[in-house]
Amino acid sequence: MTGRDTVAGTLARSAQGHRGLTTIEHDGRSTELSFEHLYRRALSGAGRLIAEGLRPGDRVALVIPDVSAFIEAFFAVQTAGLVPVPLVPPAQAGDVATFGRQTRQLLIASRAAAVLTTADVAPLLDLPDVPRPLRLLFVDALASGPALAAPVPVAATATALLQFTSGSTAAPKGVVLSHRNLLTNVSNIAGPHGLNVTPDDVGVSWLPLYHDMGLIGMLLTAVWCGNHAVIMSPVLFLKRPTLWLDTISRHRATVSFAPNFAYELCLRRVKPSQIEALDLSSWRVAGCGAEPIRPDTLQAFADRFAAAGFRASAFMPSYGLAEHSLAVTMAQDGIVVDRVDAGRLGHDSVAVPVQNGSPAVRIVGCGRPFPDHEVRIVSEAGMPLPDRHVGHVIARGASVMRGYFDDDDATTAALRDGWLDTGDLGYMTDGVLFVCGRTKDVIIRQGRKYHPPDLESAIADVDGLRPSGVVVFAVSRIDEADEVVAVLEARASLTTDRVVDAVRRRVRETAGLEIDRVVVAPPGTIPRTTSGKVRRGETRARLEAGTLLTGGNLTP
Amino acid sequence: MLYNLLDTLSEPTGHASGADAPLPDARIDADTREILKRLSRKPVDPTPERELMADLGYDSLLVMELVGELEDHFDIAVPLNNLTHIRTVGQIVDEVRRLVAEQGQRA
Repeated sequence: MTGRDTVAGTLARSAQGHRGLTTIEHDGRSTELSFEHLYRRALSGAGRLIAEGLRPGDRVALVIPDVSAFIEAFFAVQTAGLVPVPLVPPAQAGDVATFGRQTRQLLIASRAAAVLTTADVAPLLDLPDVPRPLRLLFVDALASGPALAAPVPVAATATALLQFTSGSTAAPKGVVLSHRNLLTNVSNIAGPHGLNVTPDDVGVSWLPLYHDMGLIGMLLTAVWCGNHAVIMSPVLFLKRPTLWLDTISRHRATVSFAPNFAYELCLRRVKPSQIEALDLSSWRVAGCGAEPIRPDTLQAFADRFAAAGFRASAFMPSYGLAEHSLAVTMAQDGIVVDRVDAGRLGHDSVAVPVQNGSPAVRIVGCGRPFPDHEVRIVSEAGMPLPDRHVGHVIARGASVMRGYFDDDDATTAALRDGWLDTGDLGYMTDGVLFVCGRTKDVIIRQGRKYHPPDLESAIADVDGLRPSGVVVFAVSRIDEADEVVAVLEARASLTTDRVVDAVRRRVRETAGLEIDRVVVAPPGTIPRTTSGKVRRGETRARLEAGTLLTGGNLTP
Repeated sequence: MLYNLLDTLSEPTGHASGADAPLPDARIDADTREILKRLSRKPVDPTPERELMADLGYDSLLVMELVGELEDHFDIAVPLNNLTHIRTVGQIVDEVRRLVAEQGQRA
């Protein structure tokens, strides 16, 4: 029962070894946390949670900014047979009001029995409307719990994690993952079609632990393997990107993952004198995922950091999503760039390789599916498509989620006969997956997801806008970051600049997102359905085709 | 086992710990605004009532970069929860002054 088929069981097993984690907090404080010590803390923390009246299967929200406190709380919850619900802590959620609102909505949506947090964060929580019983518990109390002798037994098919994919306020979607889902994915990430981990591998991560890539890709993978990993605060990285590379250098780390923007941040902010002091020759897997991969960024990073011993062959472009636990494919051959005809891709949805000279779109290969997992490209109607034809990316295997929490409609829409509709568009060739767009309206920025209906409803009551006169969407650029566009129908009586400023400000404050382009248009510009709903896809298509406005007012 | 990673890594700055006289407020004010202006995405003078995000074009990433720069320059540690209340240039300057006064003698 405490075998390797549950999350707590994997910790119990790794606790028999001699390795552990190094945690580095946002102020630079570093702590050694052996797996053996972490396991003992988890047993006493679990005892405390049970003494508080929590019962197996209860959901416990984690709102914890500190790295080591989060890790201890996560494993205490697992060891008690409870279900952790990691939420975004303040400071990374934006202002206090936004944090309070988002957290309250997710506590309600998850029907959490308890929120586990710190004394610093508790006053920022906005709990009055949250249905009771909801217990407010502090991580400090976990240490003094009456230790259990062993983890509370749970089935491998039981829920191990409820992961909210974004701060969506209109319709928060919680991804339900079982122990089997998680550990199947983790074992493949660690295995020969993933990182191919050996006992001497050392991981470094600054990725947030409330996000799947940090939590599953680094923390759970390290615990499952029993390998040494250094887990640092994302805030520390954002303040000083060079500390990520410095930590890899000083720990002789071999594996570290980050979204594209992190490599860009290093190019912009790590100074030449700092590069001289680095030794990145130990870094054998530099993973890249969670947002569109730009070959230019990776190439520039490889060139710049070659002086510190970095090898371009270390790059491992990867593709995944929360609904597939985390990883779907991880490239084994470094960066493989497919140069395809831009016109044929756009008009015929076919990826035709081009010779040098013709206008090309460059798409990075993300590797092949894991053993016992399948990836297919299908048409709108669900028919399999041949190689190099762009269609919906669907995936099947034991990593696929059980469903969305409390949302049968969304679950039915996402899962058909065991196949997960990823919402992404792509093509395959020689068994390698190339991702080149999305079918859903989700906006991805710096690895975080934003939902247009949330942004539109946040803007809706800005002074000067016509009723339902706003559409927000992303224009995907394939090998660049999304451009976020808002199209507004404004009342003529107000000056455009003021409305544009107010809209930008509202989105920034409620969602922490910066709009790249605001288009102010005359009434009647936005296409609508017969029932008056805005047609987002059509608006985007007309904007891209240049037919949305006829001499309208464009604001940069 | 604790050690302060930042102490071992931060580059020498003009106001590293060990400076004898406390920094005058005018200097803190001028230096803070200079840093705010240097990182800003808009050519706007950072007067006290200006808002970081709305007026100076800061986003959440750039705010973190700003915090890193201020910490290095003034040799202070900015507690994270304080950030969630700050909107204007004036509030940033006040916060830096307060932290310099509070943490100035620690070395």
